[in-house]
Amino acid sequence: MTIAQEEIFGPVLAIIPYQTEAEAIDIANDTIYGLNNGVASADMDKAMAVAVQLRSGQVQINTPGGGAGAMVPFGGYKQSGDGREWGSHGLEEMLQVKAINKPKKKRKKKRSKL
Amino acid sequence: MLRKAITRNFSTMRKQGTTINGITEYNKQYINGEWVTSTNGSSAFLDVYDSNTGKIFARAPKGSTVDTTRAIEAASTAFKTWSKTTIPERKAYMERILSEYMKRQKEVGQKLQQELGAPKIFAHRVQSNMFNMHWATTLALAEPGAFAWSEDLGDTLLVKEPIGVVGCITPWNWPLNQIACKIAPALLAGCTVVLKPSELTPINAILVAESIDAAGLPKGVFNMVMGTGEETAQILAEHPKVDMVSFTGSTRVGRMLHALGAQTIKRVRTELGGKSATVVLDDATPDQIAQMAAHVIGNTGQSCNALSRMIVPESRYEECIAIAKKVFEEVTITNANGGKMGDIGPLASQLQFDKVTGYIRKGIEEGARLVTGGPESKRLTLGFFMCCCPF
Repeated sequence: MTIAQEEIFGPVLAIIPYQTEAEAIDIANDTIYGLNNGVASADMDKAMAVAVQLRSGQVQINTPGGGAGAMVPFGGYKQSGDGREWGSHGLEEMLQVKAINKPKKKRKKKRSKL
Repeated sequence: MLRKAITRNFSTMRKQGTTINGITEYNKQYINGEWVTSTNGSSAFLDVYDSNTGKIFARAPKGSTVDTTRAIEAASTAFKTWSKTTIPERKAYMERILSEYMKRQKEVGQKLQQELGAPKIFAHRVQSNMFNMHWATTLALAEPGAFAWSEDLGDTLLVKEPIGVVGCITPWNWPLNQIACKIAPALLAGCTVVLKPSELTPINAILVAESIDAAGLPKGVFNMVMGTGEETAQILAEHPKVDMVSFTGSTRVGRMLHALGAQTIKRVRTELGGKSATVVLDDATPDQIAQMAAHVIGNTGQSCNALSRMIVPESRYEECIAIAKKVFEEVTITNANGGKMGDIGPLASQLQFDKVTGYIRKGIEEGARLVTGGPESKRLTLGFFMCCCPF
């Protein structure tokens, strides 16, 4: 169904039922996008076990948008884009790395006296 | 360099915009340290609509290919000196930009009430404040020891250097968030910038450019051009003197920029669309479900990270629908001047309104059950207002 697949960008929520947890994770990941996802659960271990299986740059457990500070990297998986913004990750994006190689320091070899 | 900038001639520094018959006209872009009219002429405008009324309240310049090319050239020239400034020097400039922005923050909030349709408290406390938040976070990284600018590997020294000219293309939905989280790290890194803000919300960006101008940043380090999204974005993605494009917007345009940037092996970094889901586990409490269901309502649903799907256990399907229904029906829809924290305003534009209502109709046609709200709801009023609706 279109409204469960395409980005609407309005206050519209699609509610989709599942039978098994594996099926729920498949439905969540079955999109070209991967910016954000959430888990609602009373059990933090169970929530974490699901969170690590969701293919997105962020996962919110029980607190949508609440826990993340400005130092936390923001960005997506898949066709949600390849950037990471905010904080030090955002600064890294604007930089490139140069390796300046210097001559190797000569090591003094220890010689045993004959 | 620092001293030179402070004594710079500020003759070009002035408040932008002239109001005639209730419409404020901004006819200049900021290129190479000066406010200049477009080669398209001073009467080439983009209309800016008040989301609350659907009427034009401002006009922004409609820039040309020549304008954007000039801005790129200016940024490229400025990079030679800006990239050689020290972190403390750049930090000092950035502190002045933040203090200049704060002088204009109230005005930014007021403009966001109109061009974005953000209710007053949300515009002033949240949306306009995103700039300060990212600016402060980036400034914290300028403190000694806060960021690894180099790494000593013994025989090798790794140094992190600015990539060069960065074309920043920003969206309308969280405008100050995206402007700040791109240009703050770019400036601190030693990059120079050509900003192309969204043509739907250009006025807040003009106020950012005014802040940067007032702070006396050396000419060419920051440039701002205006124009329609794809046209200006394309120039930035193609130009060989642009080293990186940082884009936030649709996946469709992101795909185009990646393809265009490939010709010059440009670094193209994108932050695009989403269709994020909340997985509700069988032990979730009603409060937790309600909180997660409400996320898609914030900013009138116009956030890339909005949790727009809720995947729920079949055994709790009807219960979850009832929870979402209550959450959505309790939301107050307000215009720019009303409301409390958590209330939402209209959708930002006619295009958005048509798109969202079109999706709702399509959902119904394809057999989804509309639980509450929708485009035919009585709560629909003037402007681009839309009711919240869970399916």
